[in-house]
Amino acid sequence: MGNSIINIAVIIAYFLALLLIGYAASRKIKSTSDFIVGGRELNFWVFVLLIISSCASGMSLLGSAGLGYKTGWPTIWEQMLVPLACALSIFLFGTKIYRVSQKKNFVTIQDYLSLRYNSTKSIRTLSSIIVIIVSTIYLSGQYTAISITMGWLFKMPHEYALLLGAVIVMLYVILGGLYAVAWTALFQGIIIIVGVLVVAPFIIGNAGGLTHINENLAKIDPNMLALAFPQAHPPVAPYAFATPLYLVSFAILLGLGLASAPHVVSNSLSAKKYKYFKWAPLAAFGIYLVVFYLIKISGYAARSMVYDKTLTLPNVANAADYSFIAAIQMAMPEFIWPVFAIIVLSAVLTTTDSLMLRIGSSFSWDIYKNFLKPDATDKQINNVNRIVIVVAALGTMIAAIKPPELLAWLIWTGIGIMLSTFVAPILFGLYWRRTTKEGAFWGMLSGLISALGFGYIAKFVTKFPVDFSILSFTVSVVVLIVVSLCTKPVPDSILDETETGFYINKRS
Amino acid sequence: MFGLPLNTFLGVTLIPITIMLALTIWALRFKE
Repeated sequence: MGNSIINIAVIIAYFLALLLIGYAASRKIKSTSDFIVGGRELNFWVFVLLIISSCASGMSLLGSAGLGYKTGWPTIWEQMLVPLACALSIFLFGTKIYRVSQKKNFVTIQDYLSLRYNSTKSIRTLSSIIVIIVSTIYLSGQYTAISITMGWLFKMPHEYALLLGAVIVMLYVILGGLYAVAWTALFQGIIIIVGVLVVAPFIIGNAGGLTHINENLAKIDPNMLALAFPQAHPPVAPYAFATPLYLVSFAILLGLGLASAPHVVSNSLSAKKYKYFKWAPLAAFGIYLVVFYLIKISGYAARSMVYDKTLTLPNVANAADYSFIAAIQMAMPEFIWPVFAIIVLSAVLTTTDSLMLRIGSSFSWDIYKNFLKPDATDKQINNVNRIVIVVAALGTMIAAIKPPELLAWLIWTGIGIMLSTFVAPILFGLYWRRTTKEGAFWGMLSGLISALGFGYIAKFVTKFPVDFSILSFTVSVVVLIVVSLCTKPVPDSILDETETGFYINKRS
Repeated sequence: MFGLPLNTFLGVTLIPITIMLALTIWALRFKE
């Protein structure tokens, strides 16, 4: 696809729309809670789309199709587990944290942890440092999709593509904070949903229909039609990693790890009404499921078309990641291609912006306001937040232009570190009254250290038959339980105030 | 069904339907 005037005009219009939303949002920012949690007044659909878009990673659109292209049906689990993570994040974590936050005016998840564990410094600081590190790593992993899309569809050099994408997101986040993140999520979410619903049937039809696609997959490898590849270590083929054992660890990694990721779970603080938590889990699950099933099946369709020799992918190392774009180019008339470039970009930008805001607010609120300068005004906090966002956005972008090997590894371990550090303190904190401050602290720290250790072994020494993060997650849970049982319980008054106990709905 | 083995077809359809039913039950039992 060349640089025709229409393409450039469409992409400029899209970027301008994002900046306009950012500007409109900036007019609503008066306090710190406006900037970080959108003044707690997001309405139902904005809230649902915000959760969905932060769960979907930047690569989820291209990556899901790409994974489908490579592995077939055994990785369809991803399309059930990520939507499930959205739903779990809302009802398992969000419902309770929201109720407490209404009374206590929480701005970040660390506010909850700090109250629940009766700790003003250690838990808040450690968790904030981990949020900042993990979100920064995760953020630098988001840029790949920007450069794939812009580079290929607009023949734009990698560096410029990254710079343009990152600067646009950065601008609307520093202008409008969570309002901008949430409104652009609504705008871009609608583009993604409508776009995929329109294009996927064309791609599947072009490939000869679902039955033909599946027949071709079976000819490539009959296991591609199964729900899992045969259990074997090492796997029977390089792409056959999705064995039953691996899928179990994958389910925990995605289902719980993503659900408790700070940039996902913190969205629950910004809902306007408690009653949204009633239908939001189903809405988020259902929408995400349908859209991403279609994207995955488009990946199968691309594989089938390549098998039929009706489609050729570019001759690059990560060719599978191009399967969705290539299939669109084949199925749709040329003049609407730029619209689909926007769908892919939207999927990237909506995660990137939540991560930037999470890094900014963890620093400005939890470290600057609560640790370094308790008497800071809202204006100062918001400005520190904006500066941190600029530093994080530009820093990660520069790192992503030519990622050093260490960064590539860190990106790969990012979500595993989230699983190993945040799930135990939040889940046990909400549902088990005996969890103590020391238990949470050491659970978090041991999870972090063992995630780095197991991640290193799994990547550079020897492959495990399960995802490495399940091992470090187990370490963090065991340490949390043992240390909690050996230390003094948190006072009942705090546990009652934070609604801690084995229930979700209010006890009457 | 659609060229898929029966257990795969049932897996990729029934599991999401079950989750959706469970989330509907969650919603119906939700105390505002």
